[in-house]
Amino acid sequence: MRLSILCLLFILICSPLFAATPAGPDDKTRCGVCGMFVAPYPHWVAALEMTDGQYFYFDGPKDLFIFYENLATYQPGATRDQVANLYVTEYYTARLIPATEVFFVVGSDVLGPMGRELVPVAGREAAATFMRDHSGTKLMRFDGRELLDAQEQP
Amino acid sequence: MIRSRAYLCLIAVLLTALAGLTGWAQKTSATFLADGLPARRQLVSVLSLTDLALWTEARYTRHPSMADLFSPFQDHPGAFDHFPAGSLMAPAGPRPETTMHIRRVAQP
Amino acid sequence: MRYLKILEYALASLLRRPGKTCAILVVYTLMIVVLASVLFLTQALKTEATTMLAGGPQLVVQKTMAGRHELIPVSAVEKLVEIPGVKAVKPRVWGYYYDALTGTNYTLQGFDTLANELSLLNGRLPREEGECAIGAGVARSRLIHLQDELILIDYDNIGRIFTVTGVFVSAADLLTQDLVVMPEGPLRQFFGMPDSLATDLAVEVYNPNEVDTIANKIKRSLPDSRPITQSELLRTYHAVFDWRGGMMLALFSSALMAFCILAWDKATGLSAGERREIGILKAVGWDTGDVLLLKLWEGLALSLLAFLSGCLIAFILVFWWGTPVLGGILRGWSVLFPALRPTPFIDFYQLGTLAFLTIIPYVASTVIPAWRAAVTDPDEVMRAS
Repeated sequence: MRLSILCLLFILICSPLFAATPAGPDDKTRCGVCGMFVAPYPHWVAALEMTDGQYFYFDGPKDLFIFYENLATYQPGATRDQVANLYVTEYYTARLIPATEVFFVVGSDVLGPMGRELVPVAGREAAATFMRDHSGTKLMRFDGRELLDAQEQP
Repeated sequence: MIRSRAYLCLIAVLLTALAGLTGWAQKTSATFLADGLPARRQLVSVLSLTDLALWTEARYTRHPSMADLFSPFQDHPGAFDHFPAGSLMAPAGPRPETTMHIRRVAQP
Repeated sequence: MRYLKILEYALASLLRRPGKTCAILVVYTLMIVVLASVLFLTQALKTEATTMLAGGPQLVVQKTMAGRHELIPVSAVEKLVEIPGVKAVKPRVWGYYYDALTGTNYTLQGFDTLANELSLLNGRLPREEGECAIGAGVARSRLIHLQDELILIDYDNIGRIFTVTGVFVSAADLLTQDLVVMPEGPLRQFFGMPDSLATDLAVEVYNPNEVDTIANKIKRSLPDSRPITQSELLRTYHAVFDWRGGMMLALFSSALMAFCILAWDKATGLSAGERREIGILKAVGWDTGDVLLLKLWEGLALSLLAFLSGCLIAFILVFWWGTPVLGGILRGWSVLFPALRPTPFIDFYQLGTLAFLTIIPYVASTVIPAWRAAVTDPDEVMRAS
């Protein structure tokens, strides 16, 4: 009983943290890298939040990371410190969640709007399933600053 | 010159009528997509319908997509059918988009 | 101006043979009417079906036993929800009922009582035992209305009375006309279906890209099942209404064949009078080009008139009149048949194809024999006749 109340409290306290996901792109939003409309691909949308509350949307995690790695090219004057959060659409649940919470599968046969993608999958078990189902070759994860190889981690 | 004028006028009238009807059709179908479709989609999803209620004479004509296409005496591909609706339904059904041929390699 | 004059002459020569011209015009127009109305109707139904049914379940899992559709155990749900990417699995309860009184087949459909009210329903959805909502076709065949009673015989041969709480509007006939909708529990009791079984399972999937993979996994974990994805379902309807398929093709080819015979007959049997006419025209100074232009105009004048009026008639028949002739063919032996007032979706590509397949052969079949007559010496042509 007490445990459940504690759990409830925990959820109540944490929920504002989870609630702060971007609203999603509107019909006119274009991808920050390739310029394609984002709205037709709701299962691939990725977003980048700046500290001033501005959002950039992308039609796949690949473009998100291209933007993030080359911030100076796409958004002259901006620095990594001004980036508040990165969001990607998780493959199995089709929800926007922070990029730090997922694994990225490389080399799978699932193609996004821009061809080969870093497919975001939440949870190591689901990622393993995805690698098996869609012949992924490599697992990566994002630690908040850069993409790392996640193969060796427990 | 009277006949050719009359003929061209007739063609023009027919063309205008067709253009008018086409315009009406475009408008009606656009209205359907905007207004009628969401209500129908809601109906389909609430009752979880899978098929049109067009032919009610047999279960494989009432639910063509749910019918067991591979079982005999029901919808044998290409068979002449008991019901007229059966001749309307191409014996295509759900079928694979790709096929794969596997051959055994002869042992040397 | 020269073209207009030649057109004038072509029309005059057509009118000089009113019987023949009329016969060809009528046959030609009739053929266009049949083909165009088939095209219009199937295209409209196909578009309507695929857009509407896209709102249905993304994946349906049936069980098969001995090659036949069987009731699926509800316990399979637990296996399916574990597959990553599956949002929810809902057992569906539905079945058929033969109504001996009117000789019609009804589809009895169970649904989840938590559902919202529907805008296409007059009245309300049934909420408890002894209530049902019916399609307009059922209401028509049983002569009942809202709040009347519908008596159906259950599996145990006991008459059960249901109060009609809602009747689907006839605009939704294409989906609902033969439906009797009631909550899942009472429907199980009616069919005598145990709670542990369901007709099939509807699987909701988060990501549509993953549906095929999930269908494969279901097939692997439940080998006796048959997963049907929504794309297969829609493909079935594409196939059903594909105008190249089945009866449409038969109709098309027989009509086209008859027309080809007519055109061929006309083409090869260029009458002595017509040959002499060409000869005289050449003798008075028309050159071959003018004669060909004349024949082209003759063919084109007839074709255009027939094609346009045929399309017009077909359009009115299909979308305004409710397909009086074709409806009968489509209707088959069903006792219940929805009022066919399809939403007019028109495919211009198909119309273009139809125009190409009818006008070009006809014009060619009038011009080519004329060309053969026109290139011979006028003196010889006139002498031969």
